[in-house]
Amino acid sequence: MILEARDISFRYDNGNRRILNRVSLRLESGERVGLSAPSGFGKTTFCKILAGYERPESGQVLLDHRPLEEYGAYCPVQMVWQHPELSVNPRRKMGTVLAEGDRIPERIVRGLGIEKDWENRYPGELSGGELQRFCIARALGERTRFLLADEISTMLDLITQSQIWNFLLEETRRRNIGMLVVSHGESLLNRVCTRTEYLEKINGGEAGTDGRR
Amino acid sequence: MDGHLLEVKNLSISFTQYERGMRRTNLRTIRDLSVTVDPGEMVAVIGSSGSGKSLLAHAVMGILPYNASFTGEIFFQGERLTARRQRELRGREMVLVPQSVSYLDPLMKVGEQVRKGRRDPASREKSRQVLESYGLGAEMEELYPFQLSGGMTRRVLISTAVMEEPKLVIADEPTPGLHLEAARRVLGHFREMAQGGAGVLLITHDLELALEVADRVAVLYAGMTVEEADSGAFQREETLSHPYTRALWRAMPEHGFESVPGVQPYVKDMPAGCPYRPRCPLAGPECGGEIPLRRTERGWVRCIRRREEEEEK
Repeated sequence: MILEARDISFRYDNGNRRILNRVSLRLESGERVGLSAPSGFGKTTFCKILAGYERPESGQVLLDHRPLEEYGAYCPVQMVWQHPELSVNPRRKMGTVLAEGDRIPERIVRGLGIEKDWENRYPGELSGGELQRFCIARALGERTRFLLADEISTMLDLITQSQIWNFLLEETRRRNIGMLVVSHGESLLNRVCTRTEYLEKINGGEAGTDGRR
Repeated sequence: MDGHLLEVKNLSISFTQYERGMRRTNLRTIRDLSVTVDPGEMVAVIGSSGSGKSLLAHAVMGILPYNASFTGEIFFQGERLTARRQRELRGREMVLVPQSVSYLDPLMKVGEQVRKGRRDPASREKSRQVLESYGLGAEMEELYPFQLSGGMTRRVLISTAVMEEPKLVIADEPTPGLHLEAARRVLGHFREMAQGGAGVLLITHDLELALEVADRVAVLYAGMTVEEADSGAFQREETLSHPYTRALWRAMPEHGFESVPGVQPYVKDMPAGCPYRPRCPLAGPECGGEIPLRRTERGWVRCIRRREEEEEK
């Protein structure tokens, strides 16, 4: 499958500058593309558009040449957010949070090191890294084809980071899932990605290699 | 209390939880945590998520949740910190840069928040200066937290802390979401505060960044300090003592990205003795007992196996 952002422009409705200006990016199944840029350059915004949470001012998100919105109730493009503590309902137990996903196989839950006991707890009773494991599991439902990882491991310690990434590499390879990996960590991107794009370079109309076509 | 600015001695923190109605349980999330910060010194406390790093900060500031209780002692400038002292000192002599961006008031504009609601010209001038130094322009002051990106929110949090001239700064994960250059700038700023005589306690999981700026590094595992060493000791694996510290070193993307299986034990089924025992390649039966602190060349460590290994050689 191919996930394609075509000439995406976007501005928030507070009258600020246009944060994304004709950004294009092409991502194929099995690819892991790094996305890097200084903070405030619209990396998260770009992910939100790719995952269907925001509509661009102009431009299109295409999944296998069809607009993303045509794909029924479950979006095959799933996003994992930078702040897990803000991405789960504080009043629901973690078991319910997992159930929000699309039939999450036990293999994923255990593979991420989620312990049975955690599922009976509320988000406030888990650490950031523990919460993030749930958020990753939730996004890896059966129908997920692309995963957008927005700074998912910045809050994790090195061992947890490498555990989670080693798991994600294996899982996405097994299911041929394409990934967009947003991170500031140059050494991490080098380690996990097949190539890296710099948002400041593909932003502003002078699109990168893919946008020119 | 020989001149320490902050001394935390054998801190233990427990949470009271209710299970299925009325059954009460006590969860001890931190045990035997000790750390000191001297004036002009920057000490990093590093540990995995869930190891109790934030709780340490909250215990010092006196903002633990209502169902938490702690034992052990905390001294600030040689004087024992009581709830009353904490109220007097926090926000003035000791400040906290909180970890989560959700600590900002969502209904208050950024500028006002940094000034803590003050409107006098001096405060305005100062807040402008501080925000400017983090690359946040005047137009940012009129925005609400939800309108900022992750990295910008982070810089706002830091600005709120440096508005005062504190003696002790506790920075709880100040850098995630910042690009490397901004993260360095932020840590550089804390470094400057240390050079100006303040003590800085940097709580982080980011070992690489911590090593760039901190004088000493204390490593936390499952709520216990397992090793403390000067930053230089982290140059090579051999100068580190605890098996956990060494595993951390090897997990760095540039040192092999190796991951150790298993997770940190959950507080309810914390093993007696060394908490790293279930994952430790060196573990033996005697690791289940009391593990005393032991001096090393570069600091101290809480591990008995390493010494035996050394003695065998």
